[in-house]
Amino acid sequence: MTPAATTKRESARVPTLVSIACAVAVMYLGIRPVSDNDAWWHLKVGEYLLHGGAFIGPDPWNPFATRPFVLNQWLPEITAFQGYEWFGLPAVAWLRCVAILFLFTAILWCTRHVADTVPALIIALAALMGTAGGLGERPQLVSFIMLAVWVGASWRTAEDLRPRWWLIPLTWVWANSHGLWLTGIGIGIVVVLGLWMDRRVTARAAARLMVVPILSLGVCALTPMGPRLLLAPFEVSQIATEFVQEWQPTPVRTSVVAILTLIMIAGAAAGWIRGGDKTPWWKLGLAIASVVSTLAMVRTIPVGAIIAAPLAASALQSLRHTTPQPPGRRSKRLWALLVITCAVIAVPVTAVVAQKPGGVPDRLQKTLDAAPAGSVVLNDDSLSGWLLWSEPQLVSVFDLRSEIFSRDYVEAFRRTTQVRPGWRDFLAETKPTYALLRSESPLRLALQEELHWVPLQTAQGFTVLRTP
Amino acid sequence: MSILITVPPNTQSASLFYRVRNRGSLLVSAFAFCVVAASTVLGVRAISDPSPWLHLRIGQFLLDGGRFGYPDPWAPFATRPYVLTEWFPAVIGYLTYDRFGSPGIAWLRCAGILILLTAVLWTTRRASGTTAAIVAAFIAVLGAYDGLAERPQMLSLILVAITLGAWWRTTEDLRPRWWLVPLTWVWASSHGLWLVGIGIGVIVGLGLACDRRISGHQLRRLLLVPSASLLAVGLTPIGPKLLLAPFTVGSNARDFVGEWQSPDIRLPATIITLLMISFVVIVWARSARTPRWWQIGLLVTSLICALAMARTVAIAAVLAAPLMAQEVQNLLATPVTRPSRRAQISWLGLTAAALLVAVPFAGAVAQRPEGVPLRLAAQLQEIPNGTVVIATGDVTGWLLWSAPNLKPVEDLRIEIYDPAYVRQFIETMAAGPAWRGFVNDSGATVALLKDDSPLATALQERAHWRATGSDAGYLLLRQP
Repeated sequence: MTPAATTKRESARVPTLVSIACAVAVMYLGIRPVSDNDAWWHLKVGEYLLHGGAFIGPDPWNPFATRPFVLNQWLPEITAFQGYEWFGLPAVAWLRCVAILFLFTAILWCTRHVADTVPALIIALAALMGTAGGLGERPQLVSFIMLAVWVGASWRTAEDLRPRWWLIPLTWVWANSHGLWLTGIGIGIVVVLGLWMDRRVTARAAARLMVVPILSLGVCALTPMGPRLLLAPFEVSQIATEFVQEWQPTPVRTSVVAILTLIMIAGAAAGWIRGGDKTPWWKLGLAIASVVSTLAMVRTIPVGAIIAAPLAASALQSLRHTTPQPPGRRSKRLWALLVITCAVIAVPVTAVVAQKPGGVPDRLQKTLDAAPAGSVVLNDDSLSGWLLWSEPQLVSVFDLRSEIFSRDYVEAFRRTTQVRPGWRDFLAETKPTYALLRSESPLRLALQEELHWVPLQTAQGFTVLRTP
Repeated sequence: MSILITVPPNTQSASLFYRVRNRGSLLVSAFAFCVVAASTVLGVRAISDPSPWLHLRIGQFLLDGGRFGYPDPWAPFATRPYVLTEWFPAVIGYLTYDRFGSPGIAWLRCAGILILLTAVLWTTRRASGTTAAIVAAFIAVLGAYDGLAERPQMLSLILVAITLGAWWRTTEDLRPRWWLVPLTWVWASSHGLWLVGIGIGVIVGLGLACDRRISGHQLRRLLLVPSASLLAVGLTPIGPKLLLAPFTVGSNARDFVGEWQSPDIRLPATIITLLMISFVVIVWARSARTPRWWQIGLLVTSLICALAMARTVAIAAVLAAPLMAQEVQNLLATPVTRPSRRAQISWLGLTAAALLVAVPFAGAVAQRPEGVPLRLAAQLQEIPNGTVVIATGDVTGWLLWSAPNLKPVEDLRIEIYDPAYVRQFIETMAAGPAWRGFVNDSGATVALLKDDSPLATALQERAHWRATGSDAGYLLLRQP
């Protein structure tokens, strides 16, 4: 902000109306049936833990798994399962809606610090849109909220040079919720290094600030999973980067959310470049982290969007040529009231719209129920979570937790789904007697044409088959 | 920005100055030698791209008096006439192959890379001193590496660099470069990316206007160059329909062709290009100077090219090169002088020497092309004339070249097929539900497929086709 900048009081009516509109839009975004493929196995894990299951150990469900399953997302999993047990599927949908409201609030906490209410709300909404690909009913929502808190706290540290010690226990909670906790620690390190390069802090002061991310890393070793949790993100990525869609590089041209996020960063960069001032390294560090996250993987686009939010808000505010007015107690209360009201309204609405799941072939359930217990199912991987949850008596040959399988096994499964050479060997090895596959898939066709499997039922784009 | 060299007045200082300068110039010469040698090594390798075979076939066809129209002379299932956008390099490529074989094509690619390096250097040297210019030009060649195949697009990259250099000079003297108009005519006869050159002109012209460096009248005069270039594109042997060719090709290719998809940002070339762009952004953001709009326009264009499609990453690298060179020079804060005639001749001599060295080098390493089933060629040529073949897309260029007696169900010229037909073909290659119908309807009795492909498995296991040969990962299958 230039010294010539002036402080101007915002008119109260417009921000209030925009706040209400944003809260309602965010609530609307959050209310829909449970439709994320992963939600089902997270519920299963929650149930397993509440019935005395172990945090680390051989996989309790899949006999083809050769690596231990580390339950590093147990906190949201048991919360979601408990909600499900009390209120059914609408509770899971409601939890997602509330988490999205929290996420928006956390992003707003970042943007409102550097911009007035209206630009802060606009950019927070844009950032939330940038996270749209990750707003399923999954523990990663907790990660996004925590990341926004880390970004907001680090920004404040960059201003007053005071460490935020409370980030340490917060990271402990994060490490028990989802595997992206490393991004928060990374943000902390980037900001401290940037401050040191900007010569805003001495090496000694930087070392003191660096204690927060380092201790945060330390507490991640103190969860029920023990020090092994520190390696969990890398263990998962070994397999996932090769085989899992959301771990692939972002296809920028076709990803609206990535384009939106890059536009936010470009807006911030344009402000810096044309502004004529020297941009501090810590802000450049955040921008680089945001770009890398957006481009690296589909699953980290939301990370890029959240980091970009305060940078873009700051750029938007600079167009007003005024210093942002800090939020008053009244406006904070109003926002809290809005969030609570939306969460309350969401209760009956989710009860109506989220009684039935979305994206799963629930009409096939009776046919699957009739399969003998212990039957091995050659399954479409996207349905494995649902199969694990709704048909616990069946054994899937593969499921979405790809990290519990060996690389060779995952490759063999992939080749089988594509009906490439060796697919019969995979069948001989796993001995499935049932199949649950997309009706249009090459494997469904090959099973019927070549091995004469019998189609039992087709519904909602999927077919159940049985060996002849 | 150029800073004039001032020689220290007293004799002792002058002597020290010249000694340091001579030592520096020796180092720069050694560095230039290393860069040219590395570029030569990068350029000389066996033919491995699937496309050059198609271009060779086109060159041969044209020189034999053949003409494209509808129906297509090679593809029985094409529904649109082929617009011959790359006839010039296709003819040159074929004449070279006819005389020198595969090593001739490998040498042409090497020559293309060295000319590109020189063209980029022509641009970067305008914005910076020799060292920064060579560094930026070489990094740009590395960033463009994935596009440096033995294909006409190499010519496009060279022409992007030349056009950029020309417009960079226009920003200095505000004079239009009319020779860009006939150059664009050559470009339009060589490859479909001519639109980029016109785009550069428009961006620089508008940028200069935003910077208030030129009046409305001057802007109109400068914009005459891209406008006249556009007109020149309509005057190639293809006629005005060439103006629409980039869009008709793009409409099909965007959905089905890998290089038209978003780039993989984990590839080294993409990373290098993004780092070049990031470097410029960071230096600008850290500087108290405000960059000119025309430079911002070029950088934004470079960024869009880097992220839009795999095939445009190379363009992004070339566009970012002079901007990077300029900022490296600003960081070095050393004086900039215009290149001397001696330096220019030295560079050209070095490049010519590298091209000479590349001749025996190409003869040694590029005799045998890679990635194509050469051992199956004889068998393919014995198949009766007009037989329909179902072949993996990538090998169809080689198939058209080495077995012109056969008719592929689909080939690399994706724009001549109906999108619905291409979708069916892709589904067939994946052995999806329509595969049997597609194979039957096409009348194909021969297949040339990757040996681990779903369709090869389906044809053998379910339709009982028999394999009669294999090479380079391909299987030749015949209907029973």
